[in-house]
Amino acid sequence: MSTPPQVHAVLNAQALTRVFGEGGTEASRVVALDAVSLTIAPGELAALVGPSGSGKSTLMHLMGCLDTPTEGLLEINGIDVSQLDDNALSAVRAYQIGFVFQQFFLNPTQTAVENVADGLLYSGIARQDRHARAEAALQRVGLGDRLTHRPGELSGGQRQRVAIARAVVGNPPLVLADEPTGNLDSRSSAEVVELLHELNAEGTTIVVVTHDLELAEQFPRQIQLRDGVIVADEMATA
Amino acid sequence: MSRPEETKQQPRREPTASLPPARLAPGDATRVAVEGMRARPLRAALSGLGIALGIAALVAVVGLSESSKAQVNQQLAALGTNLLTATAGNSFGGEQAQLPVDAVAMVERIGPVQQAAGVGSTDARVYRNDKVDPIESGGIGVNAATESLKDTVGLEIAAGQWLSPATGQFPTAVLGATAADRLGITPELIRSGTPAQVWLGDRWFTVIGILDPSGLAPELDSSALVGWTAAETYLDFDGHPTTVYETSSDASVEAVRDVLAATVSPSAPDEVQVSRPSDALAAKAATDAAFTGLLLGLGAVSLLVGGVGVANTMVVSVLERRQEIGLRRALGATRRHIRNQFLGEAVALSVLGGIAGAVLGILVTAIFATLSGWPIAVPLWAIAAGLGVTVLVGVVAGIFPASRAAKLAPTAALSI
Ligand SMILES: Nc1ncnc2c1ncn2[C@@H]1O[C@H](COP(=O)(O)OP(=O)(O)OP(=O)(O)O)[C@@H](O)[C@H]1O
Ligand SMILES: [Mg+2]
Repeated sequence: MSTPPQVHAVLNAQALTRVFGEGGTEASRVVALDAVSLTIAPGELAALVGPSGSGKSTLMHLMGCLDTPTEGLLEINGIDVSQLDDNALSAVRAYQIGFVFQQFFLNPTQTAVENVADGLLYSGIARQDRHARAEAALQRVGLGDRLTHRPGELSGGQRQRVAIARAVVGNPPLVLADEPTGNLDSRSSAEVVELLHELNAEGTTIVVVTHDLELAEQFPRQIQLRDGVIVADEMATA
Repeated sequence: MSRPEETKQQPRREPTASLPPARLAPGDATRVAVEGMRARPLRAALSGLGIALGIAALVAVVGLSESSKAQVNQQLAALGTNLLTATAGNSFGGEQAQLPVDAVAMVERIGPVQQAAGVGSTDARVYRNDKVDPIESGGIGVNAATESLKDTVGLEIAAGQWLSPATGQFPTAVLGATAADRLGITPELIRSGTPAQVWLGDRWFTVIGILDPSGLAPELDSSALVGWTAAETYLDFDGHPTTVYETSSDASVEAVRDVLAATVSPSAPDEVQVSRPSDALAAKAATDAAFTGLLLGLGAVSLLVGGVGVANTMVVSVLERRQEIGLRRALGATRRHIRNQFLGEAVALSVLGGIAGAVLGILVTAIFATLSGWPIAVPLWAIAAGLGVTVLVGVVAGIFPASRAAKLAPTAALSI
């Protein structure tokens, strides 16, 4: 019923289903994702878009191995993650996935370098190497002159760039950004969108989750979700 | 590579063969555990306070008891442990028994005995002057003393001089430290050469000396000592000693002890009480057990309260730091990493309190010992034990909040 799994896909979901409140009453049962099939190829920059309650966060949590599907197959970079235990999922997150959150989630007591270096904290890389790579990542996002600034000394846009640097510092095969511009003004948003394009141009595979269709249209591919089902999946013509 | 058949739970291919586990180096784990504390220093200080007080109490109790023990040992080393006393106890009838007149001479004849001395109580009373109400004797006893008493017991003269064969015949007295104090005669007065007199019996006695407090014979502190002959001449003293003091070599103390009662009073050895004053002194160091127990109890309660404080801080911390937990899970932290982080933080809080408490306990010991003129002795084992206890308290206090943090689902932790 669907295309055979692409071995080299960064993400391959087949009939992915997530049901909440199973085992409870029929009324409390919510099918948040209903047999979603989706592949993301290396080097893609895609937007996952849909109205509130459509299942975007649910799908992102599954793609990010923060949650496990009720049914279906999910492969990240060729690894079947749908049956993994908590420790193995942690390993997938540590090595395969970078996260960007709407609220940045930076440690206010740490410098930009230290925050970015934490992206490699659970990968067993020595502290000095982490810091060296964090500096390089900050250069990549254009914050080479803000290495020792703390989040409180940075603008919102700069904070999100620090968070993006943390997501890409380990060069993960897949970067997931959840409403990355949700807390930013239009100018900072534009900068962040531009940065995502730059990183993508350098080879990073990125999925941006947003409810904002206008934002989604700035990316090459829009996967539209509604009531737990993909209703459209189109490549931008522009 | 053949996989066993029973893994049908896992119908798909081996997933993590190529993927190393998420890992956190021990140094990083420590840094992460301490970081949360550094971010909230005031809270860390407050939550470690109970632990600090508990450990301070424990260290101070041990330190003070060790210091006072060291003091007693020093004292015993200086005073010697070879002094025995033989005292006339109460006879069967209940009245004060007496030792024979020649008791001191008999004791001197025991082979290993080096020195012997006698003290005999008199019925006389001593007053500041002849106008004081005779009933107010101030609890000062008047005793006849042999000249050998000073060297036998090791009495030190604070001022003036000791009784001599010459002065011992005349109405002269040497006062114990407490007795001098009560009679208002100071060492300075004696040193100044001003003639000091006390109303003793029914005549004026000249005070020729004042003693330092005696470590081994504190009963002499509150007494006025007069010469044997003078007591017989002026105070109707019958010449019967009430206590005989003797010293021998350390090795023969036990042998002397065995024969002392029979030697002192061959007719009624059962009525003689033989004792070794240094034993009483050593025992005194252990008699503060009730006080020690109280402080130890307080320390234990304080530790318990401190542990609850740390647990409480950690519970609040876990609630507040859901997003941090979520972020760390997203960065690859396993449940174990999260649990160890919060467990480590609880232990760090507790140990920090413990270190502060140990310092405080040492300080209290040092101040108190210095004020009391004791040597300062805080045994290392007490500090090590104290810190060991804080680690334990930290683990117990942290285990519940840490496992709650670890159980938090990443998605729940990330949702606000
Ligand atoms: N933990 C949960 N338990 C029960 N139902 C849930 C849970 N999480 C999500 N849902 C339900 O699943 C559906 C999809 O939710 P989801 O959070 O994925 O939507 P969303 O597209 O991210 O919406 P928004 O744009 O508002 O964030 C919703 O109906 C929601 O109520
Ligand atoms: Mg959402």
